[in-house]
Amino acid sequence: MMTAVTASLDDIAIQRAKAGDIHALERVYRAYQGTVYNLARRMCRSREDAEDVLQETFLEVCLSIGKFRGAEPGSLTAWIKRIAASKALMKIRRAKYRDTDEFFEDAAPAPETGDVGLRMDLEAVMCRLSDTARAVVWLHDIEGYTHEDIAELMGKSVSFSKSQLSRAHTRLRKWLSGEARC
Amino acid sequence: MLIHCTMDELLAIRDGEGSQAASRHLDECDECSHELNLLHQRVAALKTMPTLNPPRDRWSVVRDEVLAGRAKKRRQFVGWLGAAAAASVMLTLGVGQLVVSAAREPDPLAELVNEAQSLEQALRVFRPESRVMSGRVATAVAALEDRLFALEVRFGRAQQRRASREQVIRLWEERVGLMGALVEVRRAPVTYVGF
Repeated sequence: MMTAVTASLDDIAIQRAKAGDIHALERVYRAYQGTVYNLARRMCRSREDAEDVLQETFLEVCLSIGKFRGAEPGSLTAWIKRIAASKALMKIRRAKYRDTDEFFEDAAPAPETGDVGLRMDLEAVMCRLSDTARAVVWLHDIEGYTHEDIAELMGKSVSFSKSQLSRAHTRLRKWLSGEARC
Repeated sequence: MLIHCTMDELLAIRDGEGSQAASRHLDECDECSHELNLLHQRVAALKTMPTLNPPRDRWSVVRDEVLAGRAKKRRQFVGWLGAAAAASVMLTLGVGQLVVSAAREPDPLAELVNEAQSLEQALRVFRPESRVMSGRVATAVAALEDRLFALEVRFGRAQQRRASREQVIRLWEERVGLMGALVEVRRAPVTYVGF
């Protein structure tokens, strides 16, 4: 992924995007839309929410890229991903007010028949986690964010991030081994 | 009684933050070692989940919003420029009344004001949001607009401290120079280098 992005976006294109050139901005969008959407889709519950995050992220990127000062390889990727993560968390917070996300895990429907642990794949059990827990797992274990980063993004404490990760892994462990029907 | 590692402890060990007691226990306990392996396997499996691609292209929506925002900003800038120019004319008239003796001679200040108004009209004609701008042109436009903003602040200060006619003329010369450069930059044909 990184190689493709680096190969398709040279320094000149980035400088032009920073100067507001709409065609260069489109190149940035084309280079990073997959990265952003995948991150958003893994964090948000629905495809529609992830698409909204994609749109909001690139609107923010287009408006703020002039202020981007990173020069190291990968810094643009990290900057865009951080915006995407922030937008996804905002979406999750808004959704929480709508549908009491905190209780989603307990309310998730159990599979219809058969051996739960063997039949549920990882993707399915990730969907059963609360939005917050899933976001923490993804940001920490896959994207490599520290608990300090996550706490800052979420406006919560480091211990909140740690406890969310721990609870999430406990649940994933149970669901994948079929120890519990939730 | 053997106390196994909690998930908190396993995660801490995985992240290199585990306590010595937990690490020692892990070395001796097959069950906890197995749990740590499962944790590693889960995360490895998460990392191999397929990449999801957006089902629809959202660029046109993003682009339209960006261009609409620029158009709005441009309208605000032109409106603000007009208001600032009007305020500067008031300042100039105030200074001019103090120097009525030179009324019959060609007034450089009046000429500068006229020139600035003509340039302002020329700037209104351009609609940069509808044009393709190269990065270099966009940068130059932004720099000139920033300098014009800064100049207007200096005009405001000059008005407050009742600046001399010479000082006001110098400010107007600077304004005309910047506005002229802005018109030239916007008139420049678009060229692409590197794409």
